[in-house]
Amino acid sequence: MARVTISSALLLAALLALALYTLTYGQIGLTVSETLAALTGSGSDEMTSQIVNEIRLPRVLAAILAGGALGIAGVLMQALFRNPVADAWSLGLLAGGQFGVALTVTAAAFAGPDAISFLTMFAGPSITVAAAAGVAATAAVMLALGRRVGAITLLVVGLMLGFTAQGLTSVLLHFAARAGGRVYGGWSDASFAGVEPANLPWLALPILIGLGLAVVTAKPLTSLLLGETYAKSLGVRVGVLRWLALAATVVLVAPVVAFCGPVSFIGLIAPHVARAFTNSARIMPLLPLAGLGGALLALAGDAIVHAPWEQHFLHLNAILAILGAPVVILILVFSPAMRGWR
Amino acid sequence: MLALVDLSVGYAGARGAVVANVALEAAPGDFICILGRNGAGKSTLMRTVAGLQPPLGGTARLDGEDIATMRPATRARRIAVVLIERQFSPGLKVEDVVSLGRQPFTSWQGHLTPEDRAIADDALSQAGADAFRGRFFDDLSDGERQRVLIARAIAQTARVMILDEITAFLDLPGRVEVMSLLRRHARAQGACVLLSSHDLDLSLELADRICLLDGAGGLATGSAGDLIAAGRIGAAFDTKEVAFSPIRRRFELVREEAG
Amino acid sequence: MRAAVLLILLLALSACGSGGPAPAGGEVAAGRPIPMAKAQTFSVVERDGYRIVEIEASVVSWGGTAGGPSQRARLVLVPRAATPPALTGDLAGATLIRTPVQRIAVNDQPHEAIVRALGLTDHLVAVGGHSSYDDGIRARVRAGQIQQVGYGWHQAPTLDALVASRPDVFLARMADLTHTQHMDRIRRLGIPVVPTFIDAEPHYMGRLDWVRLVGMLTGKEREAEAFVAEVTREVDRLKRLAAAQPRRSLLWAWYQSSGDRWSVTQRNGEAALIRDANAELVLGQPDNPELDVFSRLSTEQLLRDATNADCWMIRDPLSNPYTNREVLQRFKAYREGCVFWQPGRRNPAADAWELWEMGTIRPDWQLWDIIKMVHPQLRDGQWRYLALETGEAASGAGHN
Repeated sequence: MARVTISSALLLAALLALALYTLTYGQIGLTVSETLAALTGSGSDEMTSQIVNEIRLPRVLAAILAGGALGIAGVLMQALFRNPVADAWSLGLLAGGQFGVALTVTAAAFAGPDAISFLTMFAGPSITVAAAAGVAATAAVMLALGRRVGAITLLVVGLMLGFTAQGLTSVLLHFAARAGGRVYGGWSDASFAGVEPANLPWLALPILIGLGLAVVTAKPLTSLLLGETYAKSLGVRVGVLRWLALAATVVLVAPVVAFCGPVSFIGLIAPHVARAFTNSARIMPLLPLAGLGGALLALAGDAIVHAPWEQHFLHLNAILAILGAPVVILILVFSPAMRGWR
Repeated sequence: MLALVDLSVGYAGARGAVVANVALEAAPGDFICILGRNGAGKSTLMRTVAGLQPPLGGTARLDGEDIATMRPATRARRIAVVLIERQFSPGLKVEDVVSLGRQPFTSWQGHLTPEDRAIADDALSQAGADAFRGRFFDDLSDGERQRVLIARAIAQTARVMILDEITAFLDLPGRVEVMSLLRRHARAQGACVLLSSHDLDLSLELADRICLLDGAGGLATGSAGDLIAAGRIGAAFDTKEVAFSPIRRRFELVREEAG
Repeated sequence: MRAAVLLILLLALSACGSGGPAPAGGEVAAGRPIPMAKAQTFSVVERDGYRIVEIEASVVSWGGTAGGPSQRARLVLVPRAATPPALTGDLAGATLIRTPVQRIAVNDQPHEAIVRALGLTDHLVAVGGHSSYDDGIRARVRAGQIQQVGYGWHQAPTLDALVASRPDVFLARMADLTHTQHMDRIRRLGIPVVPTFIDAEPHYMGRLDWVRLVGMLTGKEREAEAFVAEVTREVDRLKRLAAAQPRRSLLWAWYQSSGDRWSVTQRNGEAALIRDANAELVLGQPDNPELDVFSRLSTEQLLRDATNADCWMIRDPLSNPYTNREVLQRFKAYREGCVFWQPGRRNPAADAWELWEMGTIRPDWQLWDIIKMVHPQLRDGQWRYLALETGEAASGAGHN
């Protein structure tokens, strides 16, 4: 228990420090005291206040919320599928969410220009619902498949499903454009910078609900690690647990897809980082650590994207891939926890 | 304590009842071995008694309560299982597995009290799995994993322990150790232990009672001596190549007559 | 069945999304129109000492079709000395701009050219990046005196840089529909946005009207009128010169390195320029504001329909040379040595071409080159943007 508390405190401290850094340094370099003054609303000039509070703060909060949600969803999925490389991205759920949104946009396009003008804003509860439908459908498919095929096969299928969804999304948007309904761009990249202050409650609310659901499923999910039969013998209603964990995942992941796009790798890595801290596979202590770890990863990616580069074309997913893919390779090849998989 | 009343087990559909109309009474402290050839229905019977699948007919009762209709949480506190299923779980540690045995008794957060930890530690020692502390469950050999799963079942402090083929991966001294341990545990805790094994000799030696599945859906129960005298062992197991000798109480190869 | 119900539910929910762009307050009520010679994407009306600018155009994707509803913006230009009118009635939702503006942010090269043409480079506080054609502007960017907000072509503007430059107005190129929501966000941050559709103007002279608009914004209307008059004079003179020559035909098709695709200019502003050079545009189409200036065609289509062109403009500044001799031999332009390419007047110190900067608002310079290309008797050995194709590789990054 002490381990979890100390590790959480460490991660939280790192997160706050990184947040302060990201709020201060960027294309425009401020000083730490200016940033703090702007945050507390005590006598900084309007330009600094605007930069910190209206441009950077929503981005930083979005990164923290999205990273935390993806990390926790990753823990749930790795337990549910008993698969160390399962997460919302690798099993195609994020792509499915994108497809859900594309379907809605296309349908609205064919419904006429009024429907389109309602959808013109990228964010909004409608997009979240559309994304949730897509995520839920994909998750249900993967869950059904997960009982029939092995873990690696499932991963490959998930990646293939992700590619399929992305291809379908691209085609769909082409037809939507024909009908005059294209309201958002390629969407192959993720970004936290598109989140406005008004979006933050819509991002936070489902994530908090998902967090609650995750906490409720933590204990029975731990017994699921030994298999369905043992879980049943320990008094777990496995069918109900599956749906609850799935619902938690959908509610955690859909707003992230809707507001930030398909953020890769974070949900995959954060649980492993958390397990390294706790030295145990029990789910409950993993939740805060994976949440904080995911938030830290997301914020780190965002900080790199928005550092004052000369040519600022860095894509978030490219950075996350450069950081994340080697970590995943290291985990698969060298981690002692993965020995049974090699 | 444990009563099987006219119990039929199996799967709905063409296969039908694997074992039919079974009757059995078990008292606290009983160490019961279930024997039978492969496919005779041992696993199906044990899963049904454990409440993991519904019976086709009749009931299995624990302290008068029907196991099949018990609330899962209640059942988890009273019945512990050890199975032959093999699952991979990354990062699962030995301590995690054993502490899972305490899950039916912990709060909704799964927090382990010092008492829970003490029970888990004690269970590890009893099962002879102390040396595996701190290791990953997936890293252990099959036999070592069996011990840890037995420790988990002991930590569950259940009234009934149901163990399916758990001696499969152990060497002879290991098998003796485990079966003796379980028998002692049954006596000391007043628990009822149902164990299936292919180790016929040990089972005949150690069991208080034998349940013999004849492969045709029937079950014969009795002490080892009774069943041997009635020729049931031979009837269930003899083949062209091996036969049970009632006198020597062991299986012997059938010698071909020379010439 | 259930999928259909779900879809309908989603559509209904889509109506609950936060609202789209602010609805325009209906037609502009009254006012004296200020005529624009050729611009079709915006119009200006004056009343009570202030001006109302109505901008409406479709965002056309590169080489493709218009997507989405047409973008609309209404601007109210009010002199600083005057009191601004209430933003009600037909001014509801309009963007208020106090003129003359002193601090200008832009995200595209043609905007920089307009600002330069009006002699206002010291008004620039933010540009796209450090690829400005003008050396002076670029030096100030590198020195940090001008902020970088990202070029409109590639990405949404970098908001903190934009805010830090404290502009009075942001001239923003609308290259992609995703940028529309960014414009709304920038407006909410208190920065007036003027979405520009210079490239979407169906006629090439329409671009010059945007110089007049910026002149109105900056109080440099006299300079803007003088500039437009000079260019108009030149264009008219060149048109008369070309009309006196025998008619020729021109193919304007450049090769995209990947795939068997040629970008063929067929309509709108560029086509008008070629026709005014007294050349028939091979593969030409009727003008259509819903489509881009060029379309992508295959080599087969060229071989079928375009081999008789007298002259051929075969390469733009960024593409690689086409080297298939067998195909080229079938074209009259190749056999008679009238194949040109467009170096575009590159500034080697920057990744910039004058063709895409000042060249956008000096159609007379482009016209003169085209006239000399198709009417060899007028050639004087000087070229601004065109050159004879010799097969040398282009410098700079290629097209994707």
